[in-house]
Amino acid sequence: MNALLEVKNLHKIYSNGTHALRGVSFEMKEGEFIAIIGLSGSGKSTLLRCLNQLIRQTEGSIIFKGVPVEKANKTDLRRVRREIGMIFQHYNLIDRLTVIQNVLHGRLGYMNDLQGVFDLYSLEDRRKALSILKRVGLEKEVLKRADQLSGGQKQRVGISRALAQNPALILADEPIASLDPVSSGVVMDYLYSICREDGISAIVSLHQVDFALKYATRIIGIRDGLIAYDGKSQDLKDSQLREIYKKDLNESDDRENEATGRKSAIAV
Amino acid sequence: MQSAYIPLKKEKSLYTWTGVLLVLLTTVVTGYTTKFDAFEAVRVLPGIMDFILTDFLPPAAEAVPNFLSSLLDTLCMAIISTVTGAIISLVLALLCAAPTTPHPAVRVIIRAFASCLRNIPALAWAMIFVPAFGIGKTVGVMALVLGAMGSMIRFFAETIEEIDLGSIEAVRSVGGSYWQVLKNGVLPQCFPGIISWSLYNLELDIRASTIIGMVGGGGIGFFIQFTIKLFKYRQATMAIIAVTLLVLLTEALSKRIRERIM
Repeated sequence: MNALLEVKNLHKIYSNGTHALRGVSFEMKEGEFIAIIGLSGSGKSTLLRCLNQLIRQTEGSIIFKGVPVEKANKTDLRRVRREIGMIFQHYNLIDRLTVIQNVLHGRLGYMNDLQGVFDLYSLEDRRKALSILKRVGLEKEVLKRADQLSGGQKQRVGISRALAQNPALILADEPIASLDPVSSGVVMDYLYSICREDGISAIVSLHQVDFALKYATRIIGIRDGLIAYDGKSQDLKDSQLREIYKKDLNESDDRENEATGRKSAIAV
Repeated sequence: MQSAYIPLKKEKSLYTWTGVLLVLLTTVVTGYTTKFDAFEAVRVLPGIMDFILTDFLPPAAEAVPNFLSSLLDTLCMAIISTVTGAIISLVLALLCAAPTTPHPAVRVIIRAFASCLRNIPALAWAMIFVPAFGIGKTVGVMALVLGAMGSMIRFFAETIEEIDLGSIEAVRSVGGSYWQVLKNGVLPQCFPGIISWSLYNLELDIRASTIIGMVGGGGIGFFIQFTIKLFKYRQATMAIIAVTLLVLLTEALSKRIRERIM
């Protein structure tokens, strides 16, 4: 079976000189649920955004379903993007619009300019949006304005929007970073179960390691723009985890423990 | 040895005093050059008050039917110019604002253009257009539109630049094209700001159209100027009161509309 996604030697240097990605390479097969863990600033967001070209990489190639995305022209890029759903840390909904309008935005990649500008979503699309909303438990909020929802509800709308695209891959950039522990659990449960049921692959960046270990089959740990670990979650050793989350030598052990959520044997 | 003086700010007060002196000096010199006599201004005040109280008051209520249609004209001129100006300005603002501009060069050109427009008041445009195209409401509307565009382009561009880019990112990531991102991501967010500025502009245009009327643009300004020239001062006062009421009414209405839209 061909790989769904191939990333080769990805580099990204921002205009302010930050070398965010220093040669990241990995392959992804269909059906995987990958969690990317690492410190803030390690390159997780940059990596995800390069995959659908919201950020253009400086060097390296990304091949999605056989298409090299960085070389795609406008039309091809739209086709790639509509098959990749994205979920954001700050939800990125259009606040003034209703829940169902936000979900239907997921169909824009399949519609031409005229249809998209005049909101000409087909009845089929609307029915599908309603059924997705039902699936995530939001059938009562369908006509509410997006800014009237709680954080957990907003993220479920974000998930619904991604699902409306009928994606092959879902990218989630710290989807639960802005949520309380209970909502986080709810959102991750929905994300995980829906991806499993529909056969959608996912790459989720998280800094909550316990969630990563709970849901992911494969963990990629990023440190300083490079992959520090790439393997099954059960094979991840404590020492490797500490390596990923290790701060500079002047930082205390307690900070590391906070980040990894585990107790160190050397802790005072 | 400790200093007994604890200053409150870094700059020496010398700068402050120099500044104050300069302002005073400038005032005196310019007053002298323009032959502005403050004492004369105070001396003539009673004469002015007398003139107003005798000749301009009481307002001639019977004149109302004479200018009612002109007042309506003024209102219509203001509405048409605001709507037309808003549509043109929105298009140009979209080309000019950072998130939606197709090319940085376009942005610079439009900003320069808007700056020039902004510095030429509607009155100046009217004075150019009236001799060129004749007296009348169409000319008045043209002048108002050009006068309004300068500031509206800038206000709209600022509204567009203040939007949350995260939402734009989301519509791009689903595979949205430029136009789809514009309609679904940008416009819903700018909508309150655009309506707000347009209503503000409507109020400005009502006042401006009064002035434009005086140079031949039509509407109530024309009526006011013509009654003054014919020494029918009391009718002019009535018209002025009517315009004031119209402006107040518009302000109240626009406040209500803004509250509903937000």
